[in-house]
Amino acid sequence: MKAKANEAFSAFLDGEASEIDVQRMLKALDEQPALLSQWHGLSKAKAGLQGEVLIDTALTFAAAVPAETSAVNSTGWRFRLQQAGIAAAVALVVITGARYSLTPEPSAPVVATVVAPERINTALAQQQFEAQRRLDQYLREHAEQASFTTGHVVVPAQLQWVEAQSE
Amino acid sequence: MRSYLYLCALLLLGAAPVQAMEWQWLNAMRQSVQETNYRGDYIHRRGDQTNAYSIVHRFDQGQAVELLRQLDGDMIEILRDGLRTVCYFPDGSEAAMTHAVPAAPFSQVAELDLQRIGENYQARASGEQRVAGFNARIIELKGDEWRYSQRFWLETESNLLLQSELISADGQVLEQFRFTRLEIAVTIEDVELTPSLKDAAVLQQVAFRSPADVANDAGYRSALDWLPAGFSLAHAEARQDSTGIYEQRTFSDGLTSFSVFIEGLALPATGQSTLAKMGATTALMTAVNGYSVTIIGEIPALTAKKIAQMLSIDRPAL
Repeated sequence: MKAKANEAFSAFLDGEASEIDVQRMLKALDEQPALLSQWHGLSKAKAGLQGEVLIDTALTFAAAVPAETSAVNSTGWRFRLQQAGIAAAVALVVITGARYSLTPEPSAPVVATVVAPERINTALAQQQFEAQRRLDQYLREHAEQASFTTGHVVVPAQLQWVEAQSE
Repeated sequence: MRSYLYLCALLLLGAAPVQAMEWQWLNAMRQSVQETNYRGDYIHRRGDQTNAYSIVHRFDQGQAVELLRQLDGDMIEILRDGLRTVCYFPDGSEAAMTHAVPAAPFSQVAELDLQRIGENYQARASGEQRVAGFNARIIELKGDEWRYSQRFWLETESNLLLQSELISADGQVLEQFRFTRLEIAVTIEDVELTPSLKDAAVLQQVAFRSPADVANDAGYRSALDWLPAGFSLAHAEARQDSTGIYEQRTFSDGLTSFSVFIEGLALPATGQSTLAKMGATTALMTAVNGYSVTIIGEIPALTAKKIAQMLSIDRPAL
């Protein structure tokens, strides 16, 4: 179970987590709230290895979580949403940095998005997660429609993020 | 001078049937993919990712039955029986269920609109090559700046598609489908079309939707003020609820397609757009008038950007 949850978190770090991955993470967090700080450590270590820019805000959210004992019993959607936000916040530490490393050719007009620490909050993290989920859905819808006219129809695999641009 | 004109006329006469021949081959290919019995393995390469599949295809009494099996990564089996598609997953591979169903190229295309494809692509025969142990003739369809070129390898006798590629303007292969092993016109037993995961704990069934006859996007709040030449509306659906509007359209030029998704409420713009690429698939996410706009298709980034730039959405009247 824990290995699966760690895999899910790893996918999360890579920006490739599916809905099921998140469910798995939440379940693991329900059972072992200590995982949160462990994952946070992992995400920092990984980002450090890749020489990414770290914006460490996740721990402040961890502190904002209600007492862990109540966490185990609570299954309300509001609490789950909050947890999803926290999980996303942990991931965001790296995701924000990842944009730098995935920038393609230096000649391309790419402006990396720098999210000021005060702007990183669970709402934003959730927004990002929501955007990813929505994109997956769109890809499936497109693949289905494309199959009626197009030769090349396949399962949308993970996307490679090549550009993030502020306007 | 006169002989020169004769020569030109002869050349023109000579060129026209060759052109027609290539289109005939393509049409025969589409039919062959669906109406021939075959079994084999193929790979699909998308960007830097490659997946291998096995396929068993039988055509019997006007109906095609096909069993696809993903050979690497998660085990997935897909049984396509006429208009019905059933996916089988082993226990514990729930993550694989979030993926769409892979289909062999052209296996679901009812009819190729050659007239239309001919207006948007230039066909050219470019020699022969050996693929998966068979001789194949190569047909190239050259696109313009708004669409990718495509290349097809057709088996010389059955016209079965052995390999196909999507190629960018600078000649880079973005996506490739290729048989590595193939047996054509074989007898397929029922047992070969029986999924090995049939009794597995996890099973997902996907009902196959037929495309609507005529797509209609009248009354939509968004409008595409520019379309790359040759593309027309192939599918449209919309709904509206408390979370805002949802408008989905798919456009096709007869061979390639892209979809445009508009969603949400007119929120203050975040002012950020993101471009993602996977093989030949481009996904552009942006905001127009506060609505979330996503364009996904097997089109160059330039095309997606121009569509987004020329897209307008009315705000609801207050």
